Amino acid sequence: MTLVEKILARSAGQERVHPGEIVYVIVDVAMTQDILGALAFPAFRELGVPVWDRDKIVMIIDHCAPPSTLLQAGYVVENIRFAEDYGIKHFYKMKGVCHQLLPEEGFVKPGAVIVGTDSHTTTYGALGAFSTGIGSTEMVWVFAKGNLWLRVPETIRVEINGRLQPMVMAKDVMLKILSLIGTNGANYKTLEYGGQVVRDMSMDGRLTLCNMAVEAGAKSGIIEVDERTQSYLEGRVRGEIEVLKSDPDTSYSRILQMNVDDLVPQVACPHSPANVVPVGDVIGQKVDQVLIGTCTGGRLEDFRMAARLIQEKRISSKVRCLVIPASARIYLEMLEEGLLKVFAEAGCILSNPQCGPCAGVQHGLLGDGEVCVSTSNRNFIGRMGSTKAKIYLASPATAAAAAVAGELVDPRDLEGGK
Amino acid sequence: MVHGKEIVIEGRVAWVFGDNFDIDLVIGMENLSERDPRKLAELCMVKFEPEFRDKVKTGDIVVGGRNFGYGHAHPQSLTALKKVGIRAIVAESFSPPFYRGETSGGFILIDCKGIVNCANRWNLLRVDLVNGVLTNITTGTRLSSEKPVAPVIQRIRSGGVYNYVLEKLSIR
Repeated sequence: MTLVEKILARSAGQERVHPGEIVYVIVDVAMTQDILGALAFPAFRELGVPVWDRDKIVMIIDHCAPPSTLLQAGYVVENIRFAEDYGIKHFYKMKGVCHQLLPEEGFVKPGAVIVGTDSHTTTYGALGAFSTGIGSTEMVWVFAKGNLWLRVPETIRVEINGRLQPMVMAKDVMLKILSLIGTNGANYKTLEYGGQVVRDMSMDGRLTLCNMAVEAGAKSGIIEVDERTQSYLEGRVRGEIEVLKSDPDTSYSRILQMNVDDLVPQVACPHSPANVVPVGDVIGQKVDQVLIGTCTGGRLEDFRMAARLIQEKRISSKVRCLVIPASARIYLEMLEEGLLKVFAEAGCILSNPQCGPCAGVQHGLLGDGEVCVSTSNRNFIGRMGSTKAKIYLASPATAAAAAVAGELVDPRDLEGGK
Repeated sequence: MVHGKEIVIEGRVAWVFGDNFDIDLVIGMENLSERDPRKLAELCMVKFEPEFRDKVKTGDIVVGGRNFGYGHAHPQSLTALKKVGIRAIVAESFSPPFYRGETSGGFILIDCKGIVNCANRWNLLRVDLVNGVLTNITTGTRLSSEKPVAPVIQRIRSGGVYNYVLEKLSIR
């Protein structure tokens, strides 16, 4: 069986499962973020029952962090009251974005089944868990019953070999994958990432890969457990860490082979994450805003790379560059490493950890005709504000280079990037 | 609509959409913060056909191409469509999160390959959901539709997962 089949079989209490089979799995962790959680809570209250296991629920306030409108303030209050009324201890109020906090705080263990009211819940597959997004309506069921029906997904294996060039990052690899698979090429399937490049990749990079699995239509993304996983989890989780892998002789629905020796920085052009071209095709595109942050590109490795490019330079006067760490811990690490100083001196706008402008909630929306280069995961029309704005998705290196140049450039050409 | 062992719906095709249709377009991206169902009904399909609301009647069906519902679907458009009377969507295929989200809420989505070539606007369709048979009564054509999996049928029968949970809890 593939890794995901093994996880689901165990959770469903079966010897084995087959793709396409309907199973009921036990949920190990259920996560809600502030906005979609607030949609679920009133309906759950009406049931008049306690939550199935308060220890398995993690509530996060990250979109309205802190709230900028009365509506958002209302969501925050709804979340706080629910956590109080139902005794939810794992409640992170404005400490970071959900998809960074869950791994960081040790809620993700290999082999776990995790659901969340957010599309990018696929992120946690980087630690060998089965992890997928569900709607608020379904979360009401999970809160009451602690299980979930699933159709066992087929697995597409993405074998990534070769060596990444300097300045080429996990985000570039993922954008390239999307250009090959398309936005519905992995519908109902799991993307299993492997190969030498993945083995060599940091956890920050692996989280980026799994974060965007959903953009290919995938139910989940996953990476086998290895020493890097174990080392990340040390001190974060208690108990034994299972080294889980797919069986060597298992069959996949498709195997995609990639070699990244010649991979250049990529961008996803408006208005789809799969509308991907090499950055060389869009050099000179004028930029009004750069966003370096989010659950896709707001981790320490991302900011270290961006800082290398921005260091000792001023960002272009044509651009506002938003720097938004994905968690309070990352913010502190950036402070200690002197990264915040680099961004501040260059003229960036530093912010507290939040989802902010990524989903068009607050803190950096785009006006008519504006262009943003973002390290986030979606660039649909209207995603970050105006329906007449454009978003290019890129790696933190490409985004930082754009902030300095005032337009899209190949980060490898920027002085200091060599 | 007949409930009980069978789930059969009958309705006219009120509109035919293309592939990868982003459902948010039904009310317009700029209206996504609207929450009043009556206002949403007024906005429903206005950019496609201003008189849509007057032409549609309760029980009508919307038809779509492949990967219907693609994008980050907000609830407003379905609220608007339901308010003006749409009771089901038949498409070549659905975007998975859209399919799961809407059927969880008890709304009827029917996966039926070949529907776009077989159905024109205002044709009368009859769908036997459980047995997977779609008939275009106007033209006489018959197609096989995907039989939904058991959990989806349970939720449609109950009128949504919320009602289904209530039923299950009282059995507990």
